[in-house]
Amino acid sequence: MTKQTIAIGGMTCAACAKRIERAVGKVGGVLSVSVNFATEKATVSYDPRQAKLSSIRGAIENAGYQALETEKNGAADKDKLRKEREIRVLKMKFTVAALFGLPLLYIAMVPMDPIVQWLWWLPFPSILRPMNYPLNYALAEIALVLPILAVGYRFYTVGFKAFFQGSPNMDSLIAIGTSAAVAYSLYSTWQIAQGDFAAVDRMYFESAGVIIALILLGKTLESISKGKTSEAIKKLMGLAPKTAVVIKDGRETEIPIDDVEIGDVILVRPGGKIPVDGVVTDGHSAVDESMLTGESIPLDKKAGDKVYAATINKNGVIRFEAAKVGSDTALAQIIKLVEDAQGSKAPIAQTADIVSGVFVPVVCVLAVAAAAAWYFYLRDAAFSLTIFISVLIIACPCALGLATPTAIMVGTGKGAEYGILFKSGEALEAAHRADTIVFDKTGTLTEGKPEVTDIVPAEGVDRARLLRLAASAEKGSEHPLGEAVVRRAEEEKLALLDVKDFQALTGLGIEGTIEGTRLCAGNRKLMTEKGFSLGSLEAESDRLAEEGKTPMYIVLDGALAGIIAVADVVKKSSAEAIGILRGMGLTVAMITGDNVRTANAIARQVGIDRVLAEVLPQDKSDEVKKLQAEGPRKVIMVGDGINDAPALVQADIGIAIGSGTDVAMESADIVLMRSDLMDVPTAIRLSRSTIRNIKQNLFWAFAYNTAGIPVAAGLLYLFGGPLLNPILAAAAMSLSSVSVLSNALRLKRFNQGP
Amino acid sequence: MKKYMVIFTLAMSFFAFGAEAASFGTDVVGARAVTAFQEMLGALESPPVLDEAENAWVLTAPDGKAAFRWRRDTDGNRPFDVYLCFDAEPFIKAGLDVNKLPAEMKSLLESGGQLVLGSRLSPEPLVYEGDAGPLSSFEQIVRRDRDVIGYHTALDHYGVTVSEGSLLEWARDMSKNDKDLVFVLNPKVFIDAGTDPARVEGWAFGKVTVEDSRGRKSEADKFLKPFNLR
Repeated sequence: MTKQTIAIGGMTCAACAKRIERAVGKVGGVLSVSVNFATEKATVSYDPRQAKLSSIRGAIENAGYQALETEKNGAADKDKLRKEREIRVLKMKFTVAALFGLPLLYIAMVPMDPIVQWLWWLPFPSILRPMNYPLNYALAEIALVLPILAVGYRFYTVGFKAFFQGSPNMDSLIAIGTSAAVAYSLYSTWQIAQGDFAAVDRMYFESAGVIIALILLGKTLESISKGKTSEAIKKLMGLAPKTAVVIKDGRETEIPIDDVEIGDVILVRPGGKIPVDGVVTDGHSAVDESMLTGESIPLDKKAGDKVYAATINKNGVIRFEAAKVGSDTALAQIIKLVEDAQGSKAPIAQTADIVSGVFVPVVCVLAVAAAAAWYFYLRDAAFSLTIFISVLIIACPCALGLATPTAIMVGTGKGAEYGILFKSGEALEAAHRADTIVFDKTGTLTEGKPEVTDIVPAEGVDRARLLRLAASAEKGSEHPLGEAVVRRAEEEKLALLDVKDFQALTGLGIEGTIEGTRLCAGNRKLMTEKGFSLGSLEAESDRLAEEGKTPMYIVLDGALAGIIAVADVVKKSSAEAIGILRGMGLTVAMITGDNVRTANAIARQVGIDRVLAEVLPQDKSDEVKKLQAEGPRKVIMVGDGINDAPALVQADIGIAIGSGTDVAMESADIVLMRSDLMDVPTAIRLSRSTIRNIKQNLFWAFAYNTAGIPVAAGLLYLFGGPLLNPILAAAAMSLSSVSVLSNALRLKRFNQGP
Repeated sequence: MKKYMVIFTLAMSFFAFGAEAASFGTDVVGARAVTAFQEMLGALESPPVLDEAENAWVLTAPDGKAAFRWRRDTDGNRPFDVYLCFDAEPFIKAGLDVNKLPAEMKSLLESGGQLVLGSRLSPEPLVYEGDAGPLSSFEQIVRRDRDVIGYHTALDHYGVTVSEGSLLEWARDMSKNDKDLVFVLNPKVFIDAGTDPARVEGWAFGKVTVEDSRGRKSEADKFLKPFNLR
């Protein structure tokens, strides 16, 4: 299966997105297609043996839209340029429409409309006076409306094409409404030429012209606002430097970033940006990684440390070897992640999509029905036409189409700014529903770098030997507890020994043979399973566990030789973050493989009252499942290790923290770039704010159309109320889109603080 | 941007020059008003006659109580070039104090018992290519002083304005109109001079929907003397 993202030009509403989805979906071999109106991109999954990219692009073109470049390196810049060009063109088109629309409105309204009769004092060319020179007047309006129709030609080409292909969109409504106005006015002009001068009262050129001008204004503002919604991703894209200083044959050469290859040695001076990901080979410096992680304190980097593209070298000269370039760098991955999230649809968007899909045809029917009813009631074709145009124009569902994706874009962008990466719109939406949050303990609530606190040898066992043997065995383990033991032995300058028959016992501990001595080290469960007795050390073990320390039991040749207690330091932000989460109404739980006492001690420190202790890695997901079944609950799992991956997947929302493994991040729905747990409540608050914003947008978009259509159909007029002028309908319709976008942009003011 | 500015400039130029050049060719009201005026003259029992002394054509209303006059030539020396003359008696009987009327309205009062409402046109002489008949004089006036001619939507009439609010109107299409010829007077000057408009015999007093030259509609009081010629 191949997945491609194709930028699309010419979309005007959510109905366009549906139309493209239908068109591409019909191409044989296409497995799925999702078109995002806000990002103007289609994500297509297809079987390359059955479907060709060219046929997919052809389907888009045939539907009346432009299939722009397929996403690859550099497409972001092109995309940005295309957007800028689009805004420029829209501005020009609106300028032309306004230049002709204003005089058109002037000559149409100043003499005629009772609303603006107070403008009688304004000058008016005598040669255009409608009662003296009606044909001149009509021809002048035609001359003024033609350039406006010319700059708005896309509404007609796309709108009529969509209409005749059976999937009318917003353009269809505009095209039908304004064409009806122009056709009727041309007929009136012909009547004037035939001597029916009363037809001068039945001209709607100004409605067509001003509607197009106002919609172009709306589109221009919409385009500008849309650009603002993706500012976060643009900021990320702008972070990467364009060149790198590579050392080749001892000489420094500045080359374009695209030419950097894996293995190149790159020099970065103080104040310079790291161009690609790599490993420091020489030098020492502090590197500001805040642009990636949000962490404001620069990190010390020395030989062997990893550095990332777009981070800033603060004070020393470093050389590093390029390890990841192009689309493989962490920055590129983050950009891809945010772009994918912005391009994905939240489930809440489906409601809007369904409504938008049927909305336009329904509106067409309503417009015809309302106009026909009024015609049979009043026998006034001009009045019926006004109703017809007003209903078509006011009902354009563009606000509906923008309501969800724009808020998702701003929300995910805002998250990226704070180092919170939502991997999809679905993740952003689901997080707000969570009522329970489960934290992994080690590395998540705690620093994940435990220290040895106590070494308790059994009677007759030498303390140094106990530590030396335990550290020698743990040398092969990647478990944080084992690493702490090795570190302690190194600190005490103990020479480690070779281990034979090493074996990691998942969730229990390790075993191996050292200089002929069989060693077994692990938790209490291991002791129980293997049938080792704690003997006289049981009381000591309980005391350590009560203190929140993790006792590691060391068994030599079948007998308990001692306990090495390890304690993991709770992160500074853990207690505060959990307090906030509880304040937000969430049930907070902790899950750990540690014994109950140790787990309880940590839980007490951070304020967690529900503890799931002694849970084997493979059982973590089952525990999450059990939690989900209670109530039922919507569960968030926060973890960092490989062992958390199944639970992250099982949970309704998985949150991986930045210090975690690639597997955890791959399995999670939300990735926190920093290890700061304060980002967890921030992510949930951002989700809640975004969903609230979407609901507000949907409410206004629905309310606007629900209220607007009956007014445009003349319901109020029927009872002596006002009638909606088509021009006011166009203004209201354009303003509705702008108001929805403005509301979405309010999310940019979202603050990290509680 | 330049491209659009060029389009705008060209279109505006086209519009300005085109409208100017086409001003007469597209003057459907002017052209058709003359044709309808001709048809109306043809429907009159008594065709217009020339008042040699005044050098003006006289279209007398079928009841003989009012007339519309237009000059065969204009020289700028006469008080009016297009004007309505009508019997003063019905107004006097309805309370009109003629002393309160402007002097120019009374120029025919002593000699013919009529009041006059009219206006001057451009002083340039009318130029005739053929006979200087009543229609050709009227056509010359329409061509030269086009603004005195208008269209009245509410009654489907053309009209020639003789003074503010007072005019002679004739049907655009007599076959579809029961008021083929209408003398219209602005009642203000008469009411200000003491006339009780409801008591003026031979003139209907009422509200009429009128439009100014820009098409703005309003309701106005009028004295009307309508005639169905067919």
